[in-house]
Amino acid sequence: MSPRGYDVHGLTAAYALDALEGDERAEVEAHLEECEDCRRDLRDFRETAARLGTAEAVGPPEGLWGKVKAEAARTRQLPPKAAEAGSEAGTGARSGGSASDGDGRPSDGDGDGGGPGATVIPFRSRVVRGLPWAVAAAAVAVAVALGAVTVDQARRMDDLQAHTAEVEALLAAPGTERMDRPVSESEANATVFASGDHDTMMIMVKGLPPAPEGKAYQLWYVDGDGMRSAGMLEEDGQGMLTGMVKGMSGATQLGITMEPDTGMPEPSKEPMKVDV
Amino acid sequence: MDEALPSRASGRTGADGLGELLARASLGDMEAFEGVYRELAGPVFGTAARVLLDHAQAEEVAQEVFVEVWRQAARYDAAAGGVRSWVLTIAHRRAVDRVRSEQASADRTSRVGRAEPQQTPADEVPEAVEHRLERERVRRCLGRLTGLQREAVRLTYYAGYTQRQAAAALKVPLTTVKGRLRDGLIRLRDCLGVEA
Repeated sequence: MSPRGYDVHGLTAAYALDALEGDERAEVEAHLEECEDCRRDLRDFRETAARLGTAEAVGPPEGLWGKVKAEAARTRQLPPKAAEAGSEAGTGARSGGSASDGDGRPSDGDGDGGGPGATVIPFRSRVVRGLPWAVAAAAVAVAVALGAVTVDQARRMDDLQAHTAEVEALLAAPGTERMDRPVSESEANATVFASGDHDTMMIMVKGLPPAPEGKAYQLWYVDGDGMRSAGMLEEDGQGMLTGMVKGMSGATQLGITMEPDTGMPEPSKEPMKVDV
Repeated sequence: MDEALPSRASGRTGADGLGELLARASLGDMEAFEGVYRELAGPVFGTAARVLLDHAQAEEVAQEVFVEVWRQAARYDAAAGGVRSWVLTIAHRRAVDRVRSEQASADRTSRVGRAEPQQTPADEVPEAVEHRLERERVRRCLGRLTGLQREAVRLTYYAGYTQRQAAAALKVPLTTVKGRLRDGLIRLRDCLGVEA
C-alpha cells in the first residue's frame, strides 16, 4: 500500500517497542493489515517485550486495586467488536487518548467469525510448537514453588539462586524434554523435565492431598533392584510439589510416598509411580 | 513429549487462566477482573515505573491501564497474542506516550542515562520470586546482545526513546538503529524462548 512498503516491513520490531513516532505508527498499522508475516512477527515481538516488562515487575502500591476497582465500576465496558469487514481493530471507536490503543492490532483473518466468540478463543488453539516456550513457563512455576519454600523455611537467597541456576541450567539445556504423566494410584499428574541423557530431572506434581503436619512427600528412584531415596518434594503452599532428581542411572520410574518430613531410608509402603 | 499446557502444571494463573479471567471480566465480573489485576499488577506497575522513573506517575499509569483493560476486555483478540502481552503492550504504550509528552524535561533525560535494567529495586515478597527468575533470565539474554543492540533496546523499551532519538543518542545512522533493534529483538525472542 505504501510506496515505502519494504521499509515499513522492517519497522515491526520498532513498533512493538513503541519506538516509532505517530505517523510511522499509523503507517505500520496500515501495513500490518495486509502483511501476515508482519502480524506474526509482531505477536512474537510483543510477547518478547512482555517478558522484558515482566522482568521489571515490582509490587504495586497498596491501595491501587481499590482505585482501579472504583474507577472500573463506573466505566462502561465496550461490547465485543462487531465483525465488520475492514474495521480497524485498535484505533476505532476510541475517545482520543492516543495511549489507549495498546491493542492496535489488526484482527486475524480467522479471528473475526462472530462478535463474542472472539473473546473466548481458547489459548490451546494455538499450537505449542517446541520446548522453549514450555520451559519458560515451567521455570516460572518452579520459581513460585521455590519462592514459597524459601519464605517458609527462611532459607537464604543464595541458596535459592543456586537452586534457580540449577533449574535454569536444566531448562535451558538443548536436549531437555518435557513429559506429562499420570501419578499411579492417585488423581495427581506430574510434569517432568528430563535432561537429554535423562540423568537429571525436575518433577512437578499437582493434585496430591496436602501432607499433614510433620509429614511430607518423599521421592524414590525405582529400578529393577528396588528403591533409593531421591529426596523430599517441596510443597509450594498452593498444592504443587516440586523436586530435582539427579543420578537416575537407569531408573525408569519415580516413586512417591508420604513419610515423616525428615525422610525415610526406605519407603514405608508401595509408592505411587510416575513413568519417566 | 506431550503437549499439555504449562499453565496446568504451574499451579497458578497461567495463560489459559488469564484468558478465562479476562473473558469473565469482559462480562462485568469484577472478581475475575481482580484476578487479572493480581496477576499483572506487578509487571504493569514495574514496566511503567521503569519507563517513567517516577513512582507516582507509574501508579497513575497502572491505574489507567487496568481501567482500559476493563473497558476493552471484550475486544481482546487471543489470535494476536496472550493476555499478558496485550496488557503489557497497553502499559508500555501508555508509559512511553507519557514520557514523550513531557520530554522537554531535561531532568528526566539525565536520570535515564543512569538507569540500567539491573537497577530495578529488588522486591522481596514471595510472589515476586517468579519475577526475580524472569529478571535473571532477561538480564542473561540482554547480555548476549551486541553492545549496540542492547543500547538500542534499552533506550527504546526502557527509556521510551523513539528509534530516531536513539540513533541521535548513540550517534549512529537511523538505519543502523532500525537494524539493531530488529536483530536485538529477534535474538531476545530466541534467547527467551518466546513461542507465541
